[in-house]
Amino acid sequence: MKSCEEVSKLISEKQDHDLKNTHKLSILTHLLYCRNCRQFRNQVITLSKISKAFNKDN
Amino acid sequence: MSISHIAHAKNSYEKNIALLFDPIYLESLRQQMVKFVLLQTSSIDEAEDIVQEALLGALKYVERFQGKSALKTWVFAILKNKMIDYFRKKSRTSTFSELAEIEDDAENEITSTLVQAFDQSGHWANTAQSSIWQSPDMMVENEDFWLIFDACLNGLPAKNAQVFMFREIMDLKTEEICQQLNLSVSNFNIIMYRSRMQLRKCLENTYLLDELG
Repeated sequence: MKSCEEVSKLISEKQDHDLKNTHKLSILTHLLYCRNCRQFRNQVITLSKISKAFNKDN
Repeated sequence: MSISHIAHAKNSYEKNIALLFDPIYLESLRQQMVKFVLLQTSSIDEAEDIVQEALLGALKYVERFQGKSALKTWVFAILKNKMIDYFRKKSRTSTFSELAEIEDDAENEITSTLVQAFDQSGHWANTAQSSIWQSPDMMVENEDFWLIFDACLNGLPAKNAQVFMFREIMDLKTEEICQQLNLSVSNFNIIMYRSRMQLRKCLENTYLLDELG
């Protein structure tokens, strides 16, 4: 079982490159029962969207 | 297509190019470009130099501008390339200790962000559990938000800001960034993770909590 700290690192990595299937699975199963990590994942995605919009605005 | 249509298309293309030679437009464009480069470096001299080079490049190759994208987008694409070249050269020449010195303070702040985020068992610490954010669409519509986002980016250690910007703002591939900045993928992962953790905290502290009153 991975801790939130470990899973949050994987969530960040997934945003930048493809992950091994075992790691994808660890994230998925962890997110099923962890609200805080779900929220973290949403924030990582939001940060990415904001950054793209920032580029366009500039 | 009638003659007037062709004339019009030709005109709007030429108008775009004429903009590049309009001192008022050029100055406002230059300022926006400097602001953009300043996300990557705190040195105004450096930023001015890079922008100067990009603008010279744009003027030199103006005949390659096909008018398919907005002029500004085209100029910013040139700017991004100049920035990558510049920082690639710099990362080869600047000594590591020089960078490390500047980074110390910012680095300490990040370490404390990370330490506070989790308890000893690796669960989110109570203080790090966050409020639900607004939708990105709402954030990007708010002008104040951009000032804060800008400030939060500037608060990252220079190297982290550079990597984050290449990845998320300029949308370069991880592989490309690692190669150009001579980073291992695991180093890259750590830098991106730390940057995200710090940005997330900065945005919550300065903007999102403020919104809640």
